[in-house]
Order: sequence, then structure tokens, then C-alpha cells
Amino acid sequence: MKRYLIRRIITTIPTLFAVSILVFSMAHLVPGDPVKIMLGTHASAERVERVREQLGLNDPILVQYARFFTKAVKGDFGRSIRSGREVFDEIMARFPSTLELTVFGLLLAILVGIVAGTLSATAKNPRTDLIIMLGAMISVSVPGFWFGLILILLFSIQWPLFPIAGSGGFAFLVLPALTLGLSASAIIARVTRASILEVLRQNYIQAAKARGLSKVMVIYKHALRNALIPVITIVGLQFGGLLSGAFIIEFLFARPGIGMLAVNALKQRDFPVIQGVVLFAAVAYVLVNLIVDIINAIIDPRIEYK
Amino acid sequence: MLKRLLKKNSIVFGGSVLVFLVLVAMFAPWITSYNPLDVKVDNRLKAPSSEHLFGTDQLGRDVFSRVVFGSRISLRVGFISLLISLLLGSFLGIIAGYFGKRIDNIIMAVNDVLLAFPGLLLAIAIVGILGPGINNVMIAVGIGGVPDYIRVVRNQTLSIKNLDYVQAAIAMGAGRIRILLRHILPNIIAPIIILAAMGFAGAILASAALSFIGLGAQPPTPEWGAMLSIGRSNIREAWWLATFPGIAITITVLAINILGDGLRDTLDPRLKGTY
Repeated sequence: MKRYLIRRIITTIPTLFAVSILVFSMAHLVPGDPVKIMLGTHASAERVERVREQLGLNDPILVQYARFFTKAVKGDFGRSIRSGREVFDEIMARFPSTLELTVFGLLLAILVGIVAGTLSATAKNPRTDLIIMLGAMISVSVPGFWFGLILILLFSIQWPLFPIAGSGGFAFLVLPALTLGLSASAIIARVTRASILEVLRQNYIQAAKARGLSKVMVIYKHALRNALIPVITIVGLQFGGLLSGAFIIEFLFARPGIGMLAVNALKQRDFPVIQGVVLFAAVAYVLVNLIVDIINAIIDPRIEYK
Repeated sequence: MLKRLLKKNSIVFGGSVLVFLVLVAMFAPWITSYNPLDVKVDNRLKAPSSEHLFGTDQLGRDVFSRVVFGSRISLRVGFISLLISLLLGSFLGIIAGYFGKRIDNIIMAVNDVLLAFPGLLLAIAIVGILGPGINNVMIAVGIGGVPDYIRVVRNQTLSIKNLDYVQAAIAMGAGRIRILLRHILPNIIAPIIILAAMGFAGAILASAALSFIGLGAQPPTPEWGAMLSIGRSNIREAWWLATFPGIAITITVLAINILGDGLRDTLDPRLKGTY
């Protein structure tokens, strides 16, 4: 177990390193002069030169990368070209809002997904299974942001139960979290269903049934526990999808998270902010995957031997 | 084979809807009676009626015409993004799987790094490099889909290249290109088709999402995601603006997903019922 964990942790280091190289290269892959693109065509040559100096773009590329890396490790992502504020501070001020949305959306998705998947796999009536799976198929086909618009039309305008946009208390979180969790809940439901059906075929389930255990006991005590291992993996993968999906949902509900920060920076081509947010989100995703793998290894000791 | 495919209801249903949508896109000018770009300010935000089936938008443009013409853009953007992921991903995947060793290590290392950018984040980062615009969104969504193809095609190639018939071809002196194109590619085409169907739906959703947040199609282009963005700004006054383009996206994506599910069950029965 210990060896697996250490090996798994060590393998994330080159990934994080490569992610930092890729994010660093972003500004250098831009077709044309990034400083002129950032400042617009009307900027004076002096201003262009000053910003170029400020960003250190006149130094050799390796020097630039070394500086980018050492600063990023310390949480220094540079300053926004537009607002002049520290990018890291901007991200930290907004990240709690994004995290709250992502976690709440994921919790809703897990709850709905596991319940629907279990019902679907164990339903006596094949019609129940069909309806749930059809619902899952529709849920992955509906664009999340459109589902959000429909929720606003219904529950903020037609029946004003929840605020239309903004952030604050719990009421502001309900519609965005539902919107964000929709497609993840469908994916979790499908994986749960497939996994339970697979587990129900195993010998130990037959043995439990033969011992005369009730259906509920067989499903919850024996099947679900073993079926949840692939579900945990998919939940971990969904976290990343939800984190980037939050970018769209924050725009829709005008929530001041890092997605909103990134979208505005992308439109204004504010490279330090774009790089900061992309690096931050990618690192968060890599770390969440690491945690998911560790949890999986603890739950299922067989993973080590694979 | 075709007989087997046509026996499957989901393939016939999903395929028919998709063909219908392609026809709508092709014959858009004959279906609509208004120009999707015609601004008539005194006709703004009119509710759906017999004159304007889906109402009018904030500039008095006919929403039905814009939704119909929007099918051209969404299908094209989805298709080109799909082609980029499919060609680039399959090429890299087959090379990694067949040649192995150092080439495999390099391609898979790059792939691992790309996979560290979840969901839309890779596409968002690429739009960050190239700048907003519908063409850049196609490239961004296309590259964002590459890692899936690399992984699947590589694994398939790895498992096939050691089979007897490939070894026999090598023993008979067949060249590498011939082996890749004649012996390996035809046998990994089924998983590629399944992945492509799912990828097409995903590409349409991703590009609509990027247009929705203002990074894709720019005004006055009638693109479904961008139209929903206008719907969001006028949501208190005009429910129809936030409704019809979304129905269009959902029907398109649903048809492709149903088709993809059918193809998966028929072409690869082992995967039936799994995700």
C-alpha cells in the first residue's frame, strides 16, 4: 500500500511540471506579438516596450520559464494587465465561490446519480429502467447552460422562488448547482447501473441470496459497496469537468468565481490572468485525481496488485 | 453489416433525425421566409405568432430563420472539430501503438499532460492563445478532443499488432504503411466510429458553450449558443429567445447520442449497456 501511494504521488510531479511548461508556453504560442495583442493596436511603442520589460519578455526563454516556475510555486502569478492587481489574490478572492458551486453541484450529482443508477439496475419493472436511462440520455444531451436558462425562466421569473443571478446565501446556489450537476448525475447514474449489474452477477452475491438474505440487504450490504469503486473513479473525473463547467455556469448566473474572471480575461486577452486561472485549475484537477486514486487504493486493496 | 445496422431502431431513429437536420441546414433559405440577419427595430421582441413562428429578437430579427440557419453553423463547427480530433488523435494513436518504445513514450507523455486539463479547460486555454472567434473555437474544441482518440486507438493498435495475421503480413514482407492501412486500421475502425459519434455530440455542445460565453461566434452570426446568450440578456421580456435555440441543440445532440449508442451496441456488443 505504502509503495503504491509513494509511486502514485511521485508520478504527479512530472505531470505538474509539464503542465507548468504548457501554461508558460501559452503566451509564446500566440500568433503575433502578445504584448501588442494585449494592449491593442493603438498602444504607443513606449508602452509596449514598458509592458514587455515588465513581463520579462526580453530575457532568454529559459530564464523566463525559470522565473515563471519559481514564482508560480510561491503563488506569484504576476499582475493583471488590465487591473494591475496580483493574479493570485484575484484567484484566491474568487475561488471559494467556484469551489462552493463545484462541490455542491457534485454532491447533488452523486446523490441523484447513485439513487437513479441503483433504482435502474435493480428495478423489477423494465419500464422503470428504460425511463431512468432515457432520462440519463436526455440529461447528457441538454446543454447545461440552456438547462440553467430554463430553470431561471421557471423558478426565478414564472415562480420567483430563487434569485435570478448573483451570489450570497444558499438560495443563490440552488439553481447554479442543479445546472452544473445535471450531466454529471446522468453519467454517474449510468456507471452505477452498469457496475451494479456487473456485481450482481458475481458468485458472492449468489451466495448471499442463497443464504436467504433479503433483496435490500443483498443490494445495500453486498452489491452497492463493491459497485461503488468504479463510481468513485468517475466522480473524481467528473470533478474536473464540473470545475471547467463552472466557468460557463458562473457566466450564466453572474457569479463572481474564477470562471467569470477567466472569461473576462479571455475577452480582454489579459494573459497573466488567463495563465494563472488555467494553471490553478489544472493543478487542482491533478491533485483531486491523486486524492481519488488514494481513496480508491484504501477502499480496494486489490488496486495495488494491478 | 448494413443490414445489421439498419435492424437497430436507435440507429435508424438517430440517423434519420440527423439526416433531417442536415437537410434543414442545406435547404435553409427555402424553409425560411425571412433573412436571419435582417434588422427591423420596430419589430423587436415580438412573441411567437403565425407571422414569426419563434418570435423576434432584440433587433427584430426572425428567430425561426436564425435557428434554421444556425443549424448550418453548429453542424459545420461540430463536424470540423470532430475531424480535427479524429484525424490528429487516430494518427498519433496508431503511430504510438504500432511503433511503441520511444515514440509511444513521447506521445503518451504529451497525452498525459493534455489530460491534466479537464473538460473545457483545454479548449478555453487554446482560445486564450488564439483569441476568440468561431474558427479558433473549432481548432480549440478539436484539439481538446485529441487525447481520447490517442488513448483508444493506441490501445486497440497495441492489442492487434501482435495477432497472427499481422505477424503473417510482416513475415510476408509487407511494408509498414501497408500494414497500418490495410491490416490494422480496418480492424480498429469500430471503436473509432463509436468514439466519433460521441465526440460529434460533445463538440457541438462545447462549441455552443464557448459561443454562449462570447468566445465563439460573434454577432450577428446566427449560432445557437450565441443566440442563447442574447436570450439570457433578455430573459425577463422574451422567454422564446432563451428557449428555441436550446431545443435545437438538444434535439441535435440527442439524435447523435442515440445514433452513437446504437452503433456501439451493434459494432461492439461487448460494450452494450456500459458507458
